[in-house]
Amino acid sequence: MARAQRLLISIALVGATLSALHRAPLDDGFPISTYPMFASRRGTQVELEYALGVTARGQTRSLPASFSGSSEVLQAASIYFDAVHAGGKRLAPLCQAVAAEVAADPDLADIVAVRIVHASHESLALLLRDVRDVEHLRWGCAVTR
Amino acid sequence: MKRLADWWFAPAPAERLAALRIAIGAYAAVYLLVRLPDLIDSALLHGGSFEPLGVVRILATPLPPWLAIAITVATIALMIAFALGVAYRVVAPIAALALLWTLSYRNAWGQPFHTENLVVLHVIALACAPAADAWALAPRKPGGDYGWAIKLLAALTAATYVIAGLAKLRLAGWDWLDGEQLRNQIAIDNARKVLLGASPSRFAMPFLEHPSWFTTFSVLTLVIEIGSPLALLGRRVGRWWALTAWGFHVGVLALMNIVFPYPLFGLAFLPLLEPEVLVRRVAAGIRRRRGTV
Repeated sequence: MARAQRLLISIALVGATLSALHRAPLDDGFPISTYPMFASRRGTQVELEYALGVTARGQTRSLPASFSGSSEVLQAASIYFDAVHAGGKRLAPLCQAVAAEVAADPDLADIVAVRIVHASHESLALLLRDVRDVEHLRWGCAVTR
Repeated sequence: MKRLADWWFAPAPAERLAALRIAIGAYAAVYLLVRLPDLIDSALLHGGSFEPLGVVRILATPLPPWLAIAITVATIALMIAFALGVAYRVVAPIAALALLWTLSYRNAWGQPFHTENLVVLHVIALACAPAADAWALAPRKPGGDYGWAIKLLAALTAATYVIAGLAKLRLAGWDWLDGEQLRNQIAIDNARKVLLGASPSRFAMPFLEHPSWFTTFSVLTLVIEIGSPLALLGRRVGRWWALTAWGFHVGVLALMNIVFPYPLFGLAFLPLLEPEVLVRRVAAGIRRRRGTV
């Protein structure tokens, strides 16, 4: 391989990687990324859609991200977000799929229903004092065993 | 200019580049194998969550699940052949393209995983280099230049860290250094885990109660990220930077429970080290053990 060819490959790959600096910081891509994670200015409020398991006594419990169809937390958040914003056509099958996962899990034998909710919590209060804001119901379904 | 070219094209042994091919190729194959259940889950997700990015932008709708899964399995086989150095000039570019496609597809479901960018860039760079002139199942005759390719891998590592550092200044400005932004990011990340049934970091809680720590963490983060090009200046500074950057990822794991396996296993920093020396030591140890048995 000629030196010019090696130089061209080097410049092309490093240049392509650094080209991310010419894009808007939030215009992420793959594998050429602007790496916006943990970079944005943020408050401590976390606004999210997620699923809750409900016991016969009405107590609620978080359900594993994997019940959404993805075990990756951020992808699971995205799945719930998309479903909530798409409405009942997406929410109903998603809720049923989560309920089926609950029914198959012996550790969740006390869960009788699933709620898909939207909430905005103050993250420090949630983590340090377990203080939760109101969780607004977006869809609900029963767990059938 | 000549000094720059001499530095970039400084000679290096074929075995060093070969060791990088084996380590990075094997990592990619094992990573895909371990992630196979997640990759299959992604292939089965609802089309409404499909947000194509990178090369996957050529698709308007997701692939049929069987095809996405078949491509993933083929990519694993190709990465194994890549690591072994089989028919490298043909296999390596195909393997690199397959890895680019498979991981781009996985990232096309609403959330890019920044843990996977660098391995793809490294595999593409290795595919363009004579990385199978040694320690390959079908080695080609050594005699090429290898130093530039190793420098290229190291430069790609440094470039990704610089971009990550500059992103913080571009998005949050110098305020990012006061620690509040980092503390908020860590709190939100852990809260999201709690709400979505995943494990938050236990180490984060005491730090979240004492915000002053985060000023130190923020300054260190930016020094490591923006200072990454210094690692290219020499072997010793490269080793020190690699060690501190590895420590940074240990910190991310401790405070956010986020695993960046490529740097945590040292692969991201391997081009700054002498991996062939380690391979030779291991091989010599095995030979000695066999000799004494």
